[in-house]
Amino acid sequence: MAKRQFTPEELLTRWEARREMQNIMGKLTQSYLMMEEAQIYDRWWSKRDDVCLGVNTGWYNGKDAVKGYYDALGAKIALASELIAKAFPEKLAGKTKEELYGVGQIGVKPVDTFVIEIAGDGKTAKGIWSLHGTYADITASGPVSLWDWGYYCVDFVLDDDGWKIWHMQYLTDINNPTGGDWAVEPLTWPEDPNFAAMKDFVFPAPNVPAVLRENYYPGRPFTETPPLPEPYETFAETFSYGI
Amino acid sequence: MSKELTFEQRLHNALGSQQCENIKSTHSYLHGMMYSAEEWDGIWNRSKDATWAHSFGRMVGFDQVWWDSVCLVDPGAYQQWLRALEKDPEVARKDPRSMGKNACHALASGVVEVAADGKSCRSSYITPGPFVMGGENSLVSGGRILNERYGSDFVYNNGRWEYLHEQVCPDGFMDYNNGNWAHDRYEQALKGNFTQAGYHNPPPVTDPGPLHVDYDIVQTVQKTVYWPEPYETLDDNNSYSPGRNNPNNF
Amino acid sequence: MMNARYTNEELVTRLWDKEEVKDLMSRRCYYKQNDWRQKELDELWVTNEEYKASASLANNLGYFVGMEDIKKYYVDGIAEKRAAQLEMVKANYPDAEYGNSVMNAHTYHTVMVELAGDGKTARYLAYDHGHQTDPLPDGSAKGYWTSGHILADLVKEDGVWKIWHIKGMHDLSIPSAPVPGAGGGGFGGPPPEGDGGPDGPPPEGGEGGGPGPGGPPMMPDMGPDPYEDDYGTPTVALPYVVKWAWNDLPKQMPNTYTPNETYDPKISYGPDGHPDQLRSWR
Repeated sequence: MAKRQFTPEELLTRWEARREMQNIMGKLTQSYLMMEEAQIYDRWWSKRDDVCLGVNTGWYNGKDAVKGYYDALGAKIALASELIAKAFPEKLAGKTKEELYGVGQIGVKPVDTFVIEIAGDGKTAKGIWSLHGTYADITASGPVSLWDWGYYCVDFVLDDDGWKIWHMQYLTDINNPTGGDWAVEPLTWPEDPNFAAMKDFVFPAPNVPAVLRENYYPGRPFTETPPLPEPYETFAETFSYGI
Repeated sequence: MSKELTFEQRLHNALGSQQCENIKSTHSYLHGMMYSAEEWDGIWNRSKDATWAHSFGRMVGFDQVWWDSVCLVDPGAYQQWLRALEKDPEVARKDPRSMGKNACHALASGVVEVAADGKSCRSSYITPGPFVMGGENSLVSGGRILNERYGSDFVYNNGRWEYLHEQVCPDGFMDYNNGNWAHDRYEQALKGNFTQAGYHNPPPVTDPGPLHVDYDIVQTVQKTVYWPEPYETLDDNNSYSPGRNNPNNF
Repeated sequence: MMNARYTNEELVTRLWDKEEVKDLMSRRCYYKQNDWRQKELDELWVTNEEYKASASLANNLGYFVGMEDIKKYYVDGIAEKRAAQLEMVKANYPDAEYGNSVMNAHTYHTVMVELAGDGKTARYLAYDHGHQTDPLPDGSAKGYWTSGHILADLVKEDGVWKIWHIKGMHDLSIPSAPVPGAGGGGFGGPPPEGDGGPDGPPPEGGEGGGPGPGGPPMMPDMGPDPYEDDYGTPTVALPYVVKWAWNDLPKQMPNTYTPNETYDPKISYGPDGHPDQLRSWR
């Protein structure tokens, strides 16, 4: 593709867009620190119908599925909060439901190593980020911390209300419990009566099942990073991070 | 907001955003080298409104920040250096401060906003560590993971960008390969032998904490250094140290 | 207006130069993860003959200088390693192909970019937090968390930023497998005993605290660098001595406020800019 020449004004606007996309990803990932996952769709996703979110096991395709994914994260936090409050009544007595929401839970999702390309026409953009995090998951065995190493890949679209997420992939290579060795069988714990109700919580599965990436195991075929953004003029000229 | 600004104002703000990213990283490396004097001497505002906060509280004013962060920190490095010198004479050729210490607080997930008036910049970052450091016995580094988040305010003062406020919020300190931090904390709490990590002999501060504490099973959500949103000017609603926003308060 | 030296157009160019340098180095990070090493040299490194002759890639043992030596180490070396690994892996996974059971991850963060006053070169510093996993003969694998800092000189060739010199200074490898007795306290371990300065390295077990009278940190001794055999024989043997950690970094950090006016080999990340003139004897 011939490199388009931009005026200083256009270049400055494109720089501001680039900063805005970094900020969106910063805020999105910082949301997990503050248990604000349930607000991610409303805040940063495009309200188009053709949005999609890819995870290792498939696609949440369409706005209902994507919104449902984040709603489910919120519902899981709420249930876990109730169970923790019941398990530690003395420590948490007197706190309201709102104050208890998210207690004992945290997600650290630092992202960086970004490559961002904005379309020549300025209507879309795409970026890849590396993720090297860890989080506390509340399971039927109680709280378990896991590594969270992988990638975020995003197609952005310029909507009337600014840059929004159009397609996103959140893919991991290591999602094992911390304290164990990712190169061998993951650590497990017995079920915990305090958290037995987590067994009944069903997180919605991707509505388009597919193997987008496998977490590491000995014998795994060499697995390259997701594709990197390359300069492009219009979205039709490039690949999509969507389904 | 930026559409209301002139091209020159927007350019000033964009350059400021980049410069504050660089300053933030500069802090991280200088801290990693324990070059405390160079950090506070080189990139900080020196007013009475300069503040530095951690879990234990907030140091207020450049003098207090300098005393706590330079005068109380350097001696420990020299003492460790003297102990290491007894075992290895080559240590004599090395800078005591940066020898075997590199607490690299990696910066990731950055959100950076420059005020519409171009006079300040705010950022929030999170770090996964790594926390790499030397041990006295072997001088071979070991490392752990340090999860923290940072809220920072910068000001454009006398033609250059400088740090005005920093707030460090530690969420946990953990081994790479030992223990399951969430489950371990839970089991400790069940057994009633829970001990909150953190500073136990904090340096003197004007505003004592705790301002933020590590994760544990009964810790409610902390939004201590919420990310900055686009804003007009550094004020009490847009500051990581409300009430102390005048970089010329000497 | 805001800068007496540069026009607004030049300032916008300088603004974007720094972003292009960041993207270039991020690409390099991903290329390395993918073992796209020849592709990296072809696409991301200098092409001008003069620059190619002085290009360098450094590891903890020294500098590979010139694209030919860089290729021999960086491209041919990894190809040989992967071929040997594949032969070994096939005993347990007969259908295995290139890179089976291998996993690399690197992340470049805490980025600093210094753009020279003349805009022709840039200096880059980042920290690399990653992991690496390699197969073992019994069909299992061994992984390490890895940490190190990355320094690079970039040069603009015909309007496109290219890599000229890179130093990957490896600080630490920590086994993915639990090490008995390693560390101390884990999350929320025993409280520190030392007086604390702000956010300094922690005394024993706990978090926070400066290197005060509480004593030295008790970090596990991780032993020799498990990747030392991969470092090859550099063209110029000038080591990065891990035990001195970041003693050399103060001399090498990009400038925060006043950039160097122009490129100078003595402040480069090539061998001429090697900071440690007080040689370690081991």
